[in-house]
Amino acid sequence: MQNSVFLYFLTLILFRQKSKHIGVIMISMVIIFLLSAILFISSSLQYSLLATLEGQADFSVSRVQAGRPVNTPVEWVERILEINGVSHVTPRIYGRYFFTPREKSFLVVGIDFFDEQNSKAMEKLIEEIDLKHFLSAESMLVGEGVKRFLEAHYFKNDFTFKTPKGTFKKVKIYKVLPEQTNLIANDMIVMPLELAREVFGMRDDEVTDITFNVPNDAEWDNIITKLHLIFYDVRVVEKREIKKAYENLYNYKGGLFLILYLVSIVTFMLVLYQRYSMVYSTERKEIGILRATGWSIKDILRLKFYENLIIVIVSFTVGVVLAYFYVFVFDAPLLSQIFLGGANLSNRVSFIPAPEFGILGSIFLFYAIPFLAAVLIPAWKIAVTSPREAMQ
Amino acid sequence: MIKLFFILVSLLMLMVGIAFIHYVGTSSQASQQTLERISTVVQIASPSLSVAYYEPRMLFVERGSNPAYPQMQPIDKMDFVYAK
Repeated sequence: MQNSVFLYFLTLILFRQKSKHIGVIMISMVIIFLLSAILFISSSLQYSLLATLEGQADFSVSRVQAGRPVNTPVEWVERILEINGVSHVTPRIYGRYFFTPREKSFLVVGIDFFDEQNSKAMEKLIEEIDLKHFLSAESMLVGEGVKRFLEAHYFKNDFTFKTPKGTFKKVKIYKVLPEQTNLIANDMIVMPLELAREVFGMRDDEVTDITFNVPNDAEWDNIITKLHLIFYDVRVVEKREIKKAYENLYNYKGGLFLILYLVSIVTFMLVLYQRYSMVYSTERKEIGILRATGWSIKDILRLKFYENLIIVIVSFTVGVVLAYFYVFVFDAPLLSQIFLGGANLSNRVSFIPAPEFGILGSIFLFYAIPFLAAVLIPAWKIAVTSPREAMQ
Repeated sequence: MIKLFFILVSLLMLMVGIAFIHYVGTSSQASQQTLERISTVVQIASPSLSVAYYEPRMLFVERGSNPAYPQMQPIDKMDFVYAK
């Protein structure tokens, strides 16, 4: 009974003074929304990219000249194969094709469609693909972003590449890569290896880089040493380095945004503290009347605690849920450009929901504790003064 | 006022419920598998960064260079987002 009276009085205060609370709830909601949205995007990206990294080769090597990567001789494949413990040595051809009239670029990737593994994976990826038909003419597969861009520039069925030799190469657009691949392949053009070589004007004995696996992890450092002994002009990129970078990158980012969040939340709390500790006659009068009618300091603090706890819970829940819908239903328009850029082809990525509930819990604590402290301390200061003084 | 309060609580629970249903109902596995397949075929795991031509498109593999002054600090706006 006593509890229901308390609840009634609590809800009465909350709804009677709603104009006072709405402003606080709105500001809190915006801060929580922004922070949660950023964390949702980064955790989703991290989840997707770390999983895709599993299927990547352990090492990639490329030739460097004057500190810059240049085309790698294809004969390196044989020399790498001679190293004990190395498997799946694959030459890669890829690079960016610059479309001068609009100053946009595509990532052209050449793959060996005659490789059984590649052809099977491609057939799984695009169900309607007929590889025989695809290879019978000079064709390519394009990402969604490329398709949109080419269509907007009247390249409906084919695109003409200008090779470095000054010749033109007309290539048919065979199919568009599935929408789910946009995170990796939005600006990608996939074509047979020889065609890619022709587009980039590379010689037959050159590739962009060479990838390989070393199944025994314990041999990795040894293999790197061997590579540096065989080739003097080589740059080795390890998968474990990239994995570490992906992990650090999001931690860093999370940290950076956490600092920004802390700055904004501390500012907000200071404003809140300032507001509540100011000599507000209504606030002081309210506490004074309650004290005069027999409420103890503990009761007043309990009332203020629950009143503000409801505000905290409402603003946090609404902020987080709105951020969830913004990121995972509406694909985070504008904010996704911070992570994926917006200088080249526009990208519409569907983020895979992978929220980190531990981080959300930490945000709640980082938000709720200072918020409650910023309100309860001034309230306690008024409550300990005599009711007559408080009501004056 | 208690009635209003319970309406507010119900609305909040409804919002959380809808988000939870979306989270449980989204088949993230199919999207993830498609992403893994393309990444395995092309052997590229870098996100498709929409960056200028002189900025690195492949994270941690390519390095940016200033087109006008190659000896200068490379221009890479993504450095603000992705640490190396």
